[in-house]
Amino acid sequence: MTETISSAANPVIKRVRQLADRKHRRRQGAFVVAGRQPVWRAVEAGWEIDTLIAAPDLLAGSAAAAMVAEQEDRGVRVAYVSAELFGRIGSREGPSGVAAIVRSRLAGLDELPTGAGAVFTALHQVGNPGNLGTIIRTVDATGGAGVITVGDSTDPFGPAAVKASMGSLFAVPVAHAPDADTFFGWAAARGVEVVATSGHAPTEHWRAAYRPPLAVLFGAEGSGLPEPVLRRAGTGVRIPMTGTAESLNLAAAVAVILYEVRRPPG
Amino acid sequence: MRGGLDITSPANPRIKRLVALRRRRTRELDAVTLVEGYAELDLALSAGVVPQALYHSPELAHGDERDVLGRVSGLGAEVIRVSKPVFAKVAYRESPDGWLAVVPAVDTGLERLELGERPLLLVCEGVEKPGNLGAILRTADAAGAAAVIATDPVTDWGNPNLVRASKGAVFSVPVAAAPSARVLSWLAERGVAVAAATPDGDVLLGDADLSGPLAIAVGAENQGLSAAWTERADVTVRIPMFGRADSLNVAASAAIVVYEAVRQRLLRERESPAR
Repeated sequence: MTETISSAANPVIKRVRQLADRKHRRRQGAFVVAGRQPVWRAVEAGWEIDTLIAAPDLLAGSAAAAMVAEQEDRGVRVAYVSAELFGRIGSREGPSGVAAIVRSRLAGLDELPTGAGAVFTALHQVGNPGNLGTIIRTVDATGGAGVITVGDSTDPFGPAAVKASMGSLFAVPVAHAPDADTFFGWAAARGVEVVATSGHAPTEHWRAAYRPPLAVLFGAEGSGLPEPVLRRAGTGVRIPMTGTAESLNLAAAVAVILYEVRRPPG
Repeated sequence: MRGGLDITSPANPRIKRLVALRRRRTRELDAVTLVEGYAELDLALSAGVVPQALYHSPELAHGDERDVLGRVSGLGAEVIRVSKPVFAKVAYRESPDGWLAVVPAVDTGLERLELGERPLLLVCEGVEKPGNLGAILRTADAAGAAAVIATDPVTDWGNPNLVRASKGAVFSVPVAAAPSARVLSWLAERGVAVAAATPDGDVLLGDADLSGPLAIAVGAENQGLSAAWTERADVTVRIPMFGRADSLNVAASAAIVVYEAVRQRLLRERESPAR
């Protein structure tokens, strides 16, 4: 019979804590996702589940409880924990009763589908994990082909990014280009047009012609895209702003542009 | 005084009062808001905020940030230099940068808002996450919106995390807080139409006319907008979804709808410049 873990010293619980740290995520090639819907999406999308963590008291009779039982039947390791312990490892917005340690899976640039309608979102040196997660969610909602982080970037598998993505992380391919050269090299080889966003570009974002396959490239909040990177893009677009320069949040700017790219012609 | 510091004891009564200002009630009682961080302070000052007092830890702050000292004392605010341990006690950030200002509370009265000829407003119902409200304020700032109104519950616009997430926009964009019924009648009296953004809206976003005097209403992600808004709205709009996500983040949705309105306004102005 299964026993319920109630000690914070349990190795599974200790691992969950460790995986909040990027160094441990890299070393173990795994990360933590919490919540019924996000865990369900990880399972559905076929991500490799290392361990499911379930609090039977919180799940009683739910669809999530059935999902956990089904996964256990298929040989997935399940750690049952007390509701009290789950509350300490779960999120602040109330414990959902299920979490998972999932094997990290970054897409390779070469695996990205660069077909006719493909729209990529490329983020140069994105630093805020909440923004990255929200952007992955927006890309999912707009049917985007993937997200590419370029250069030094925050980890898409970090707790704040995973949480903000609301499970979209499991549906949207996320690839990493170590530098701008690699990114532009990939785009050129695959015939993907790069549209750069900049506060100084002459073209308003709703006047540009978007011809997929394309990648919209965004700079970090505050600093934007560096001049040499900007120059290498085929087109530049600007979101008109009346307030303080750079006042739009990065995730909001991505939403506005991706919606515009998707606007039906006419 | 040690090393030119004014306060080195965490037991100092002013420090105790400052710590108490983390609570909403105390802030409301004193009618103040806290601004922490050099970048946020810089933006608040640029938006015309006049601090009452500035707490500063020279040990924590970078040398090239000193310009703020002159700007603040030039405005007549008191500058209090405190030790690193004292600052750590008053800071709410995990890694404080040595700057914390007490500023007058943001005015949130509905009646004082001034609406131009063809105003664009945002109404947030039940949106409570400071990160989302901050991002929405920044969108409103970028779009030149007349105001952002929080309703049900009436948001604490002075929440330090919200002040931080707004990057100072909470000081440059007029904000208000009032119950839904009051906001609805206030808008109606001023001839401002309501467009409610909801996943089951009647009209696709691009097909709705958003070029007149308009308030865009958004709701919290899990509950959405209440019937009070969807039923009394002049139009309910939905953002087309192309993918698998069941919904967008509320700040992302707000940005999409607001920018559709901005686009229609600019196009209309350019088509009929004489108007």
